[in-house]
Amino acid sequence: MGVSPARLREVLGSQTSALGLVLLIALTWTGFTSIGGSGFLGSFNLYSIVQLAARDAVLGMAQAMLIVVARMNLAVGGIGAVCTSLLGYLLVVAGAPLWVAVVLVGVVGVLAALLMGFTELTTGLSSFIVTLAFLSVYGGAAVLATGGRQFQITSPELQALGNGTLFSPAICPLVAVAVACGVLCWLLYFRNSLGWKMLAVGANERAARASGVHVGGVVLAAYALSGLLCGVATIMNASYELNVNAGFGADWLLPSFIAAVLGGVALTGGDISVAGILLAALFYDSLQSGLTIINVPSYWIELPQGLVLLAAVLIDQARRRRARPLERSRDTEPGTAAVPS
Amino acid sequence: MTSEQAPPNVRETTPAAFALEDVWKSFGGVTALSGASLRLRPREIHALIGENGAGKSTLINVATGVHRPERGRILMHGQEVHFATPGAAAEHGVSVVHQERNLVRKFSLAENLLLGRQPLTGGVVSYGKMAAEARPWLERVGLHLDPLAEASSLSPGQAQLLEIAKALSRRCEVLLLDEPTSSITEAEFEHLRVILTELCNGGTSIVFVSHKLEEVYSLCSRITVLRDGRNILNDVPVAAVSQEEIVRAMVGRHIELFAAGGRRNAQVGAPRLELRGVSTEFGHRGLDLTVRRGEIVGLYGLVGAGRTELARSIIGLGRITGGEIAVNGKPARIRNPYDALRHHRIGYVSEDRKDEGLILRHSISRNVGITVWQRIERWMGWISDQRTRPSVEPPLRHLNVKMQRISQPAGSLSGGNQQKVSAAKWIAAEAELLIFDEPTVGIDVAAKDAMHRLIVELVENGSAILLISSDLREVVQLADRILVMGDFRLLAEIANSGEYAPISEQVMLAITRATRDVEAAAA
Repeated sequence: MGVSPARLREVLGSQTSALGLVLLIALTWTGFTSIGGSGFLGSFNLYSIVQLAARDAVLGMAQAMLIVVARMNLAVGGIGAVCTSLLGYLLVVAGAPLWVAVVLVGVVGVLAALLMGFTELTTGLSSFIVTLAFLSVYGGAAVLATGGRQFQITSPELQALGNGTLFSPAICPLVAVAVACGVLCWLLYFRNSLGWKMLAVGANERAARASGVHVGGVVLAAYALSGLLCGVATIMNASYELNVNAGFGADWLLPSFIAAVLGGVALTGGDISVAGILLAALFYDSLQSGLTIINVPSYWIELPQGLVLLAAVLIDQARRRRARPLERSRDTEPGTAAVPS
Repeated sequence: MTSEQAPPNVRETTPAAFALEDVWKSFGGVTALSGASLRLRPREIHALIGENGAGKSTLINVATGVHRPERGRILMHGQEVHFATPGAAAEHGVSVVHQERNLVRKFSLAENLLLGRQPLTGGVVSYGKMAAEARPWLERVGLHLDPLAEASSLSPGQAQLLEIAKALSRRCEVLLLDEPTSSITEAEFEHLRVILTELCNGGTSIVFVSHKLEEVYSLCSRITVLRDGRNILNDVPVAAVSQEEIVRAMVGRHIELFAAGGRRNAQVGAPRLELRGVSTEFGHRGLDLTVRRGEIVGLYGLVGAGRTELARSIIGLGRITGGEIAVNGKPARIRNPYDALRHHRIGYVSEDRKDEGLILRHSISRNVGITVWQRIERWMGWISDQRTRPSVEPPLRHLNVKMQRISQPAGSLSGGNQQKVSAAKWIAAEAELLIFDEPTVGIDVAAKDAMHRLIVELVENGSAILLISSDLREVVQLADRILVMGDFRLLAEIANSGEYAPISEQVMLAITRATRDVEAAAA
């Protein structure tokens, strides 16, 4: 008998954040074009928006890995600092081949995050405290170890990744990396039992544990994946900055949260929207770039950043409030039917 | 004497103390009430019965001003009244005590009782005055406790009484009790029965909502049964209807209620689970317990006796501090429910359905499948909802879970169907030992019956069941052996004859003897 209204609402409801973001991006783009002139949509500017948005999308996914299991990673920047320092050292000082450096950065990202995971599980402290502490530990350790030196990366492959073009002069190849990460995330959460368990743990940890889910293992996996994505973001970042130091990562926290939360990942856990993360990152960097183009002083730009995060959290809350009646059905239940066979 | 059609309108000469007539209410296109009525005489206890989703709660919400009906009248002593808010209903003397307790646990009994109306002396709350004001109301419901004691120290039954005292202190004339007995013990019900009868003789009219028909028979004089928002039985004397008729009115078809236990064709086999001298972090010491294949062991006790804690320790949600657990005769170390499920095929149907039994936000399919994903996933954990269907659908169909889609959130189901889903995941997991913890609390007769049939079917197929229940009738109906627990000790083991009276006597004897011993030791 076709699609029932309830089913339709359910399908549309799950896509509202993505649709809303597309609208927001369109609004931002037309707005800044009309105020700041056609330079905003010029291929040079679009290129730099996309370049940054690709990295921020991956940071959003790194954050989402832990938000989904009802935790958070305040140390994305700390892991970024460690990984950036390692990458610089391996490529510039040790002269390691690129692939070795890339693999090691990934491994160290995973290990750094796993250490936080073990700390959380053994001490029983909240991820907020643990990752906040490790943010300082990792950031400080990276500066200490490198003595604050700059690393000038000369790898042509990395340069091509971060500063080359893909199909059009307006598209940076980093987009492909972000989209690939997005596809893998989608597969994880929609087609993989680990992703399903992560969602279950995030939605209701007690119920997941009582149903025989190995909660500790799932949480550690979430930390590891978050760390791996921090490693990926490090390489993306280095590929267009090229001149890197241990201070990298200091400004990663805000975009990681904005991309995840504005993208529709519920702060309470148990929910994911991969397309939302990609779009939210694009929106965020469009806004940044637009504000610069219309000559908003750089020290003013942090204000709208904060406001966007606040708005994202409020939207998240409104979404949850709307979803709640589902859990409290009493006498208001619609008619029921038998199990489809 | 009763027909399935809408009963004729009975016109009576004496006006009802409180009446709802021909009430209609819908929510977003879904009709909850279509012409429901409730007629309450002065000084009567009136049973309001129906399955989950039949419209009882909506009717109560209309009666107390939470919902405005689209059509229909509310009458008090023959006069039409309109309740715009719950406050307006309270002013007219209509109060409700909800199933979910609304007590502030950290506040004293007196503070809870007089919440928002605390007596002030020079702008400051006076505790002496408050206690003095609260005491008579507490005494009236038989709570002879210090009014300044913390509410968290109350048992569920006492908390219920406190809520009733709270309603009475607002001079209520009509008291609506929404499933007041869903989590209290039989002894506490007995106490409640006496109190309610006294109140009723004192002039209060009471509506009593319950799923337990025995309670209806022992307490209520008249009964109204709702189904699909309509009256199926409308204000008839309880004495004039049989239990079967009530059940049929509720579910709309004849169901043969499951008969007493002890008549199964299950072969009791080798021990599936053995506890030898087990001690736990919760305070159990040196416990011995055996559950055999094809056997239902009932674990009865009062709330707080340590039954749930024992179950949790068995499946690794609590720490075992001494003794030995053996599964299928081999010593087992169960560190968490993951070990219990993967290595020993032990499952636990939690008493806390909403917080531990189910992930309410997630779909039915995910809730049932969670125990089998690991078994059916392919390379690298590859899985899809389609792949889980063969494991997930049969138990749901078998338990006749009423749902629209397997993808709808578990939280959108009625209580009984939620409980079925919570059990279905362990059927899907093919658990060989299942611990049911209060499997039928707060669910309707039909769902309760379905759970009972399920439990018996499971043992007939060779599973072993540990049944924790505060409902002694249920234990007597199902169990092969009954273990009585009190204060974290096993007080007695009783072979179940299936006859309620002698068994209940033995059980109560074991409990009172233990209490006396404790008191003697303390003296």
